[in-house]
Amino acid sequence: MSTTPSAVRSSRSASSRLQSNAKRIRLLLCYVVVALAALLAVFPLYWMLVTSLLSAHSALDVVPHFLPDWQWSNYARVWQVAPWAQFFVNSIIVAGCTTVLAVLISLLTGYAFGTMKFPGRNLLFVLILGLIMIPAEATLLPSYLIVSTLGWLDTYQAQIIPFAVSISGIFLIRQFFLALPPSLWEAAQLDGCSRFGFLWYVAAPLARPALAVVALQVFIGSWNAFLWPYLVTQSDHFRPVEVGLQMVASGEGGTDPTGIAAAATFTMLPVLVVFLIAQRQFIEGITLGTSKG
Amino acid sequence: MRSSRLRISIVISAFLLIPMVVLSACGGGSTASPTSGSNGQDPTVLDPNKQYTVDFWEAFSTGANKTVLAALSQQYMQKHPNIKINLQAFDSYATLQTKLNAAIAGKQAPAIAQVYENGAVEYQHTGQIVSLQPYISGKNGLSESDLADFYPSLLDDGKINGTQYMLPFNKSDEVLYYNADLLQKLNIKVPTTLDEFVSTLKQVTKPGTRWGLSFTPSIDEWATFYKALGGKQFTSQDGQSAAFDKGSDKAYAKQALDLLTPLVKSGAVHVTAGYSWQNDFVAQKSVFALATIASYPFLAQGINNAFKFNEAAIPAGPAGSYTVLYGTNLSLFKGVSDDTRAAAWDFMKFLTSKDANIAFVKGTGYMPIRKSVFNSSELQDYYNQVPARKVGPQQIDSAFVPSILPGWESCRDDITNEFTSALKGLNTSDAALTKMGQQCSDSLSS
Repeated sequence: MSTTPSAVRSSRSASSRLQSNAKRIRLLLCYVVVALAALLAVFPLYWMLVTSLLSAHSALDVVPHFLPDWQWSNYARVWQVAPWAQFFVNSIIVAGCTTVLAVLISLLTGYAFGTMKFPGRNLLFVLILGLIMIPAEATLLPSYLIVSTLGWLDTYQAQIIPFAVSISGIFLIRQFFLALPPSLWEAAQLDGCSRFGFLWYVAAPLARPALAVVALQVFIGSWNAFLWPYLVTQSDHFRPVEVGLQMVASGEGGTDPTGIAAAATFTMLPVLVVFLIAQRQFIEGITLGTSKG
Repeated sequence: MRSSRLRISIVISAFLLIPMVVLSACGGGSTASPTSGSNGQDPTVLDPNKQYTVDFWEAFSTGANKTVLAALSQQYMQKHPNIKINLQAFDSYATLQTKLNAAIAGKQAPAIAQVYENGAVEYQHTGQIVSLQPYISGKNGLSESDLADFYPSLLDDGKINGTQYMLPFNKSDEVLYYNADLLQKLNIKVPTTLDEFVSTLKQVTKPGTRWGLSFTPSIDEWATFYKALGGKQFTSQDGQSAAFDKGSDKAYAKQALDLLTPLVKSGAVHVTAGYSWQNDFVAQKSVFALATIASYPFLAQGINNAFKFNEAAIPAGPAGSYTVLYGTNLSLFKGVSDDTRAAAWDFMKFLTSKDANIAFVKGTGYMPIRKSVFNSSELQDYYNQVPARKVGPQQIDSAFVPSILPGWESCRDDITNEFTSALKGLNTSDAALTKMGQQCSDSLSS
């Protein structure tokens, strides 16, 4: 084998070319996998959007149509078949109130668990966390009976109160406060600050990012909730938008696929907008609380 | 320090409690508590100075049905400013019945609701609905001529053991939809007998491109064929077992299962699920369809004048022409005060009156419940504009409900499943009939 400098150089450059090609191929494969995953995730949304803009004839055609007919009248038509404005107002009220209560309760509870020492603190926290293990379906019937006994059927509070406590929110805020240096509280104490004063003037402002994550998660969860509101509401006065969508989708004698697709599109829009605006906080929420310090 | 902490604790508690109290105050209203009324003997008397709230639970959650019912309710309230009608719509009859059962259990039943016959029988057994006889014969009741104006089959449909517990409301029946343009092109007449129907289906079928018939099988089609072929009884006299799998009726039940099975095998009939048959019909992949008149607006919307389609009566068998009666009736519930129920009765009278029913039929496409409604100039003009809509009401006298026993609800599913399996060739008709009979008897006797 030749060992002249040019031979060594060409051997090295061939090797680096090989490595660089291998890197490109790996990168290409990654992009292909990501693109396929994105296609799988986005295609249902695309199909829904296209169907919402098809004519009724095209929607019922045995041959699928991948391009829309631009029938914007589908949106106008389906808007008129149900009191959508009322449904949206109901969703805003329910999601808004649930978010405010959940954030408040998460803040107070997370603060207590994260900064205060009291007998049974850890046991209580574990018990609260353990509630996450209970499937929602298991508590559906007793919850319904409680709500019915309280006379709360077909009301806003039936949809708000059961979800006013967010276990994951409590956990997130607790983790955040655990990371706060104790010297902050000590300094505040020296200045004569009470516990609540420290929470209100120091800790809560610092916890804004975590609270934003909790607010976002609770809002989206409350907006998208279906089963519980479906069970406890009886009239359009209190039905949220997801239950309204289900009512439009079911009908005696036939279905209106273009109308249903249009309804699904505009019920999804508010949450989509919220997510697009606050996606950074949403993704932060996934990792928040996983590291200490 | 302690007093400021106490003050802050009180503030926090108030901050949490006040929204809860306010929200409780904003809760949905409900009808008057079930206390006894002051109407004395006549349950129909209303106090014109008293305010009434009537909850009407129904399943008209969207579309023309909802709009028409809302308009009629508004019209009624304008004439009766002291009566407020709360329409509470649910997405389906199944949900409505489930919610009704839950409300009855929670002692929060509405004053008036749409009910199916089977459900009403169950409510009557448990004393949840009231007999309408005292209301019919009350001061604010229905005259003899009024009662005679209802179609007898529809009025009888509202009776339980000879007593009127329901009045008809949104009734429909099954018809034969057909592609009029295609039949004209092929120079084929609309079949009027089952034999003609079977041969026509074979004639119009183009293997691989067009079926003669697309439909989603259910007990209703089987029951229609069964009656048309000569079948008589569905359940035994004591209501404890199925009767269609016994004696002379067994042959007709088997014939009803066998009628279309060879055509499914040969490709002349397409067995679908849900509303998929509409896809075939709209796309002209099938020439005929068997469905309720309630499907008409959905077909019209999908077809959008691409071709002419029409309705015809279900073809007759040797025993005559039959069709299944669909739709619900109205009942008054016990769990409200007597005077609230009096207001509900007045509203029920209004909804089933001639003028209200004309508006209801024209707006929704359901069948008229009174002869004077069908014969009215308004409806006759409407039928002249849309002749297809006349077919359903013309079949009223031959419309039937197989059974109103509570256990029949389960029978419906059993028969539908076995009928479908026989059609698809998953089961022989003998095996399917045996299973139908056994399962149905179990459901009826449980």
